[in-house]
Amino acid sequence: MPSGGTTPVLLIGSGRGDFGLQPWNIVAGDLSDLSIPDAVAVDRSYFDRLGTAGLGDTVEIRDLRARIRLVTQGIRSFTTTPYVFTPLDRARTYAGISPNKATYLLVRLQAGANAESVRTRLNESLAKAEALTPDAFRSRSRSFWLFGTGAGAALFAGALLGMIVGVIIVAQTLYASTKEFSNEFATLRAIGSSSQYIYTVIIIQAFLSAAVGFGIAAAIGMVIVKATADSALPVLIPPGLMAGLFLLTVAMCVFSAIAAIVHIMRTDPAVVFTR
Amino acid sequence: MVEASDVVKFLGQGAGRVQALRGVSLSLSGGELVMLMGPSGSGKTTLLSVLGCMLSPTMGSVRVCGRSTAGLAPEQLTQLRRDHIGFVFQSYHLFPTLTAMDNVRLALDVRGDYSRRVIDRAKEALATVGLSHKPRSYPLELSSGEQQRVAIARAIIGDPTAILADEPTAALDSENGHAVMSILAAIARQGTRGVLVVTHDPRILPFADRIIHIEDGRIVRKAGNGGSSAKP
Repeated sequence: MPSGGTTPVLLIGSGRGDFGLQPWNIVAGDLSDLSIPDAVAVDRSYFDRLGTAGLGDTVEIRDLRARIRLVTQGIRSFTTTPYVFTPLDRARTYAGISPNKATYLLVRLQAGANAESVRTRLNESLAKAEALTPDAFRSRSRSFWLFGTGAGAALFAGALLGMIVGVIIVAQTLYASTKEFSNEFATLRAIGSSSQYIYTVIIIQAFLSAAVGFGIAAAIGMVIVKATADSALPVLIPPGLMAGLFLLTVAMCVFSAIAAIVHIMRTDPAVVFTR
Repeated sequence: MVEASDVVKFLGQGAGRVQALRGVSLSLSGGELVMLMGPSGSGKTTLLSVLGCMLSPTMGSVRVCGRSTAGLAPEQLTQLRRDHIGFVFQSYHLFPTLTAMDNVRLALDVRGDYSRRVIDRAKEALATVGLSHKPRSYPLELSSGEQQRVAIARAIIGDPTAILADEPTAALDSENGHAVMSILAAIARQGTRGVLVVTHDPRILPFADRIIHIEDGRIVRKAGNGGSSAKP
């Protein structure tokens, strides 16, 4: 980097043909500029990380000069390690890999070809390689990050902790709220409300807590989504995830209502005569 | 209508176990206003709770509209209470965040009645207690007497066969106490409902058709409207 420091990058070299993996979402430069000697493409969200000012700037990859000729937007990695695109032969040079080596080979099928049968035949004929369909590759990557690294465990532990804390906080809030209104609940029981009616009242309270809490959290989440949209680690909350989180929040709040329900159902309705 | 026979009730457990009722028998019929009097700790409230299906007798039997409460599960007792008993409490127990109208409607709400007639019935109940002009008032905007009248409206809207009132005039001045008792007496005079009032207040005794005295968990005296008394 210009500052003298170093940072790891994920170098992606691909063939120049139409079928290779080329950078997309280009915001500065032209794809053909990658054929210029030393040309590389980086995403604008990594400029700070790479210590570069952007298009035309010069950096070094393993002591070899590289010039940013192409700038993309939105090509970011899960690990926040910057992707650097360059033609395959130059990538091999930067990485010190012999010309006949490749990490991945992208196979594009003709229209109408059966992907599964091609995959099967490739696996039968290739001894030291494995052919995967895009879905299988995606699933394996996801499994690796979630279950094969500490990242997944930390993610799940964080989510679990959040759920436990959420349940405890909501349970305490609902319990305190119902205890505060125990006279009113005792009155309801005294005037003949059924257990189901009491459950419904408390669960509606829990649902309202969930809706209000989720509304606030969702608003904060959307602000974070907007704020990180152009950063190296954008936060994404697609509608499906939002709906799932809402259902989870409602379920947590309803579960949290159990303590309050038990408290009220143990209250003797005859206390209304002594209060 | 509501009938207790030889009711015995123990309260508490272990060393704290006390016998609150020792073989109490009484009946409440439609069209009468009965007053239950006795010193503190005599068992009045326990008897009211047993008659109101909030507590089950340890021994003896209670029948509400001909149905025995023996062996009924708590939810069945609740239903019996909901269908046949209206309560008026000393502290009113109105919901402060609900208007007078909504407090009255609540008694129908817990009965699962969400029909369009609910509002008319609530208005009618408020009119019965002389509060048709204050349906939108919140309890804190009402005087003590008015709050108790709202509580009476809540008790009668479900058309119960018996109304059990616990010290309904204890927190009221003489004028308001008289007004509340006039309403309860008028409800009893309609003939279909019986009203049982637990009281310490001698000022309201003239409203009673019968007066029952209870001490140490036993009925010690019953007096008719003319004041003649008899041992039970």
